[in-house]
Amino acid sequence: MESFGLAIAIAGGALAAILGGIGSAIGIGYAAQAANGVLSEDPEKFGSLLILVALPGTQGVYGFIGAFMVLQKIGIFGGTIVALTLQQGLQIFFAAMPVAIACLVSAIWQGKVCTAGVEMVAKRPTEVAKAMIYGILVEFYAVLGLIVTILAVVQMKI
Amino acid sequence: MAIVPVEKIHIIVHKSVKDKFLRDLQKEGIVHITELEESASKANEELTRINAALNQVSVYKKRNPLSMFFSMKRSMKYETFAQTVESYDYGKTVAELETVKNDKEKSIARLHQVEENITLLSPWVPFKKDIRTLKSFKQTEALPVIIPSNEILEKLSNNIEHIPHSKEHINTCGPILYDIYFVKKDQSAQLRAKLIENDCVIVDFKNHTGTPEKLIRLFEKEAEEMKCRIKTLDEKKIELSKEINNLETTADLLSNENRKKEVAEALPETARTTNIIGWVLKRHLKRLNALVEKHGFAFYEKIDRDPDERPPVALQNTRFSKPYEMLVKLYSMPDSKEYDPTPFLAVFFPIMFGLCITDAVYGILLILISLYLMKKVSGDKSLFRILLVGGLLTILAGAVVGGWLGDIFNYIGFAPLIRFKDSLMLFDPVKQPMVFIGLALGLGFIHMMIGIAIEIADSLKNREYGQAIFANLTWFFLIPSIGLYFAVFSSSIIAKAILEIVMWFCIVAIIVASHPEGKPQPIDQIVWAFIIWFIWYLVTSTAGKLMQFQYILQIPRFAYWGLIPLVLFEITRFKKSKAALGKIAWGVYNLYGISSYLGVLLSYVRLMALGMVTGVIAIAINKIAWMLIDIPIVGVILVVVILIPSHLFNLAINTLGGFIHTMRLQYIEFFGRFYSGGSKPFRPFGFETNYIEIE
Repeated sequence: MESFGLAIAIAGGALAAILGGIGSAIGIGYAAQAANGVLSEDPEKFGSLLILVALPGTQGVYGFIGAFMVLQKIGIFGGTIVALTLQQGLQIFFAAMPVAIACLVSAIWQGKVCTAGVEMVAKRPTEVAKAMIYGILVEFYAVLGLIVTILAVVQMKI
Repeated sequence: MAIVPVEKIHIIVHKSVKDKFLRDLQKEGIVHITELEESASKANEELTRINAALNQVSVYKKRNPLSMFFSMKRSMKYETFAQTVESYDYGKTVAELETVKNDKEKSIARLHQVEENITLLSPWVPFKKDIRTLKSFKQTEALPVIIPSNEILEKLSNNIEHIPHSKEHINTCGPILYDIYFVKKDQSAQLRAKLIENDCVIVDFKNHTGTPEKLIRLFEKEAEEMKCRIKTLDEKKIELSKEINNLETTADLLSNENRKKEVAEALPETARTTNIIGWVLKRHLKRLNALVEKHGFAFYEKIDRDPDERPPVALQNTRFSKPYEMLVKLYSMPDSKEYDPTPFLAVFFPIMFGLCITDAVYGILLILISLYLMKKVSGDKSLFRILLVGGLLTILAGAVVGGWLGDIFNYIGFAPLIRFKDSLMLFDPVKQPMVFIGLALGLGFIHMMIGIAIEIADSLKNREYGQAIFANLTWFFLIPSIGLYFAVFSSSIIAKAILEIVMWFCIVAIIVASHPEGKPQPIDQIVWAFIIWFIWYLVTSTAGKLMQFQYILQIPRFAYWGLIPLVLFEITRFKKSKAALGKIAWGVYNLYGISSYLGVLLSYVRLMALGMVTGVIAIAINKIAWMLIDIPIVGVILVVVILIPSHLFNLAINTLGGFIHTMRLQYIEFFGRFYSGGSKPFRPFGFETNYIEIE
């Protein structure tokens, strides 16, 4: 039973990295396609569009950090792997879900917002700051998810 | 510190000096001209030509990579600027660039044509006769045909058996066959149809004369020539690109000349004079006076503004808070009757920004980066100043939570460093997140109370005393009282009793003073204040008894009898009371507004979330990097190679997030209390440049 708990805990960490990565990949995909279209008209805008395109990338990092915290908690890096019961494994699994799901959804939506921002910058290049602001507002909820995961994992007693 | 007072003025200029006057007015840049507010600048032919020329050579411009993100202008004195343009014959350079562009386009088109011809002819090289002879037969037509494969050839042969023809095989490249078919002219249409039907291509050699081999040689020679020519043209362009600075200067001058011309056209005129109606800062009146006197045939007068007219707004702040005007402008310029919120931003923005990052080394990096950018980037430096002060506060916040590149000191293991860190550290956010939340909420509470205080001051300034006392001041006392009642003085009976009275007064005042339309009569307010006071007391003390908590303030029983005459009094004025009942419902709804204050307060928790994320990511980066330390020899190098870009990335995303969320707290939580904005910014008619910054 102990190894099963460990497997479930690892699955939680893995899902954090996987879902965050999927979200970021989709989000950046949306924004980058629109940005390439704009660049075909005006390559000078590369710098200002780069930030908008890169914004949805942070969720992948947050997912990765979440996964890292989980793996560290169960002692993958320390050499001695903690023997987890099934309940403890499930606890860690659920602790990893906030960052995993919040990152998946927020990155996709942030990608959509940034795509609209890219289109806006195409018409009004000076307004790039405003486009960025709306993008970052979406990202905040991934940050909250990550905080909940970190607090839950760090404070958990196993 | 505030909104600068402006005067509306009317300048009258005699037409004979109009041009000179406008030039000086543009140079001074002190008058906001009303006519210009909505006009967008129109294109001008010369300007379009220069811009096209600049576009052509801009590829060769030596570019600072920073120019991708910031505008980089060259600074120049006005005299040098005017001289450069005067002594420079931009027409010649522009014309040369245009010739180069046309020639290059032509050469490229010809090169494409020649290359096409070479591709067309090259499979037919084994045909050793002049290809023109193919078109010279009297009764026979020769059809050069490309057949995609042997299978198609077989199919084709079956299909065209009934048409008398002969063919000569010329070449085979892979599966593709190159044949010439000979057929009688009257049957050629039939054969052509069959060929096309079978996916074969009939080649048209156009008017080429000579054997394919010779033709290809000629074309290849021409292609070489064309390439050579394009190279020469490019070299010429590179040479002309040395003129790029002069061209840019000229473009800036011309666009301003153009603007001046537009202004001149837009201004209303009489037979002999031109009229400028606009705004000038009060402190610039002297300069305007001097300008008018210098030109002789000009005159200005102050005029009254229309009662509902909103003058353009300019802000004036101390050196310390000036950079934050940028953030106010980004939201909206304040109304001329409002307070300028810039000084408050100057205090709270850096503190909150620092809390969002909370890492001392990141703070040092931010300071270094902003100092570097301040030196390198010309133009508006507000953003870098904000980052600089934010960096200082980040160091402070980082020291408090013990964030120095995450927990890097623990890895380095140098004892004095760890002792230094620990001596400054007040709490560990990962182990005591509640302390961090409390810090964020406390800061948010102060921020919110200052917002309400400004609201009160605003109402007093506009002589809305009822609004100030009942709708704003009540909240200002109620919210801290609730906090103190439950959190601080939970054991002191006297303090609780005092707080209770304060809270009662506030709640009653909020309910009584709220009214959906118009202002209620004072007598109504007083009578209803008592009624509500009694009812409130009755309800809460009963609830207190039922739910077993001690209620401190005691009212003698007989006081309740006072309710009867009050209610009777209200019943005699039944019609009015009915309206007042609706008012009370509205008041209770207003009281529910406390949830919005709660929402605002909780919103400040984001400071803690953002601050902790920076720290945790930094810790994770260190951990990952240090896994490589045991690799012999290269281990240390690898650790550094991983640490530097990762921490820079963490700094970048968190600076971005911290900046924008701090901005959001100012805009939504803080400005939402008191700020409406919506004025036009004061934009004097002056030099506006793209490439040059005039000192």
